[in-house]
Amino acid sequence: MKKNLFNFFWIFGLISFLISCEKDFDEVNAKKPNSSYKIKVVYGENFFKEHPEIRSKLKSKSQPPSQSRMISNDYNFEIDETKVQIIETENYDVFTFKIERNTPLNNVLENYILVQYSTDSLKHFIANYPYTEVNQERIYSNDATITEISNPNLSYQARDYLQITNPNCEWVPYFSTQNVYIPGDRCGCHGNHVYGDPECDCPASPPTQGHYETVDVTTWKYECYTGGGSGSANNNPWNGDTTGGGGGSGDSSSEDILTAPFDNDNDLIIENPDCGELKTNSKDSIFRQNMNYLKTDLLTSNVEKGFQIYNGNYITPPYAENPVVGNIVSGTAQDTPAFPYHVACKALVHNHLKDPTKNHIGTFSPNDILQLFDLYSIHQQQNSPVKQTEVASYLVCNEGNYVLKIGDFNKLYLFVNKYVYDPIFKKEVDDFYKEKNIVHGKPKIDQNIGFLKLLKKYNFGVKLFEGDENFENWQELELNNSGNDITKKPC
Amino acid sequence: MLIKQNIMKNILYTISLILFTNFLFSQTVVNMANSHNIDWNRENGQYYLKDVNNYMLPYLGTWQYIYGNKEFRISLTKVPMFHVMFSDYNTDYYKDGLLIQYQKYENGQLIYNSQIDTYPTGIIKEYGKLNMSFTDYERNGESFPVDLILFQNLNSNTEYLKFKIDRFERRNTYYEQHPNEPYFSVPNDIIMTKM
Repeated sequence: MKKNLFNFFWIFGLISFLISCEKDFDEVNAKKPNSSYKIKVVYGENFFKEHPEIRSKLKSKSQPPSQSRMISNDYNFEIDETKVQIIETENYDVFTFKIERNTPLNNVLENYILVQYSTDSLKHFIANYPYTEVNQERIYSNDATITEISNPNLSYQARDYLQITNPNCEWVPYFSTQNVYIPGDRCGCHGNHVYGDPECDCPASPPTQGHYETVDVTTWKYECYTGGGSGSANNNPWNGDTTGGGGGSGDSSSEDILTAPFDNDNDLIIENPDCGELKTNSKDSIFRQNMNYLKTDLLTSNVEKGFQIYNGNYITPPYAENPVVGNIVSGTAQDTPAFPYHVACKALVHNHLKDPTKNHIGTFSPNDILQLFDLYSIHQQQNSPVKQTEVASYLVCNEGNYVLKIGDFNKLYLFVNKYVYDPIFKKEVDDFYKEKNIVHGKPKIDQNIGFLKLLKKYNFGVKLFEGDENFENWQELELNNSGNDITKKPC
Repeated sequence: MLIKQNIMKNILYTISLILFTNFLFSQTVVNMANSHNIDWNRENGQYYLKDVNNYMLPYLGTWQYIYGNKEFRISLTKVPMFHVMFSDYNTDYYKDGLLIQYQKYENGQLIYNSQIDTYPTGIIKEYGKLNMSFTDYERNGESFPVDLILFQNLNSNTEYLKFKIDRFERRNTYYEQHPNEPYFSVPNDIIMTKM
């Protein structure tokens, strides 16, 4: 049956698409890192559910558990609990939080680092990463510092500052560039894991693959200067050589700790790759220009229009640009443009018209859902390098600017299969649209809630986002618990 | 006296049983006119999406459209309290809906008589504005939403029905294979009169 469906869409693709048989694109498959650690960022809410012992060690019982910031009166800082960076090695795990202060240090990123050893013992550090900003990109300098501290007792209880490092020793950073693990989306069946995470054992979940990217990682070595020479502190820190020299004999410690600067705004290693992808596209001026055109055009035009977005890294020869935004093309009064298939196409964009005689709706139609499915299923058949997390369908309409992204391709496949091959189910879904007021001219809120109810009822593995009038600041839309309003989760 | 007591007891038991059964199988009626404002569920067989205002009633019967020597007719029948079930999507509820059948005549001769749909459809939230599914059997059996709008000529007191199939972002595999033929096999965007 699955094969038949693929065949159907393949035939459909042949009819409606001009297939580009581009085979010689650059392979961009993720490479495995040489290192034996992995790095990821998770939401604090999930982290503390999985590691309740960490919270209890950090926080006094009197502190409200719902508070999303923990305060250390000992060191006069707060840590932001909303996200946590985790580095896992064989011997220890490193949990990193961003430090917030009322008066932040200029051009210094401060992290609170908690190291949990396999023996269950804990160590606490504060890391300072000075940086400069060039073209809105942060460049971290190599004079970062790390200070080991006592348990900061992140509560309202004040304690005396206690720096427990040996005055003759210091933590010395060694910088290197590493391929590190970037997580995929959350597991469908386990909220605490992400796709691609080896600990995620969801058999039915299609992997929104975790992958590897290049990240600056710092290896801190604890080095002492008394009684044994100068050690290896002057080794070139950029060559990744962390073996060190002769070392000092005054301290028996030979430990090292891996860290990486962690800022909550860091797009690179964020748990939700959908948001990163939306932000990447929104930064492109041609994308915004085309979106603006579609927005204006829908008010007066009598035909739909749209364009395609490509990842230039997958084009031969590579443009080395992402995104590459295509030209605007016209469809018909009732149909989206017949976009030609391209192996590097990662997103389709189209508009719905305001003209009441055309009956266009203020959200995605069933055909838009099928089109999203088509794009990724044909990519799979063509061995396209486009990742599931890159695939998107953008919609510009009078009511707003929306994006549909795939969360669970298997669920989407089942829904599309049913909709295409079961005429009764198709009628039921069509009636659902009308029953939920997903009808031209009905209030935006009705249409959005109706569509979210459709997503909830049929659970077909897609996510809905809405952007602002500048096609930025995307938010994931979800139904609230009562099912009568929308919860917006900013990217 | 004893017989009389037994009869009374039996009556009480019967009434209790009826009430209990009624309680067990009681359903919550959801008014189709404002169902979008209500968080009702389609999953436990307890809900009935009902045309409480009987807005579907004036649609029932046969409507015709004559153009030249041709005629197009549709017949609408109502199915109250149809049991909707899709086990794979955990769907179990009841609804009111309509079935549609159509005929095409040429020079008074029946040239096409469609099947009668088996699955009732139709949503109506205000009087005279109904939307349901229309299956075009000569277009690979593809279904399309159709707007059925009622209006009246006040002078002649005649009822009319606007029949407009909606092709907004639909797939029509027949048309893709036969782009030179009309998109639908039946006349569209027409005004019909009741027979």
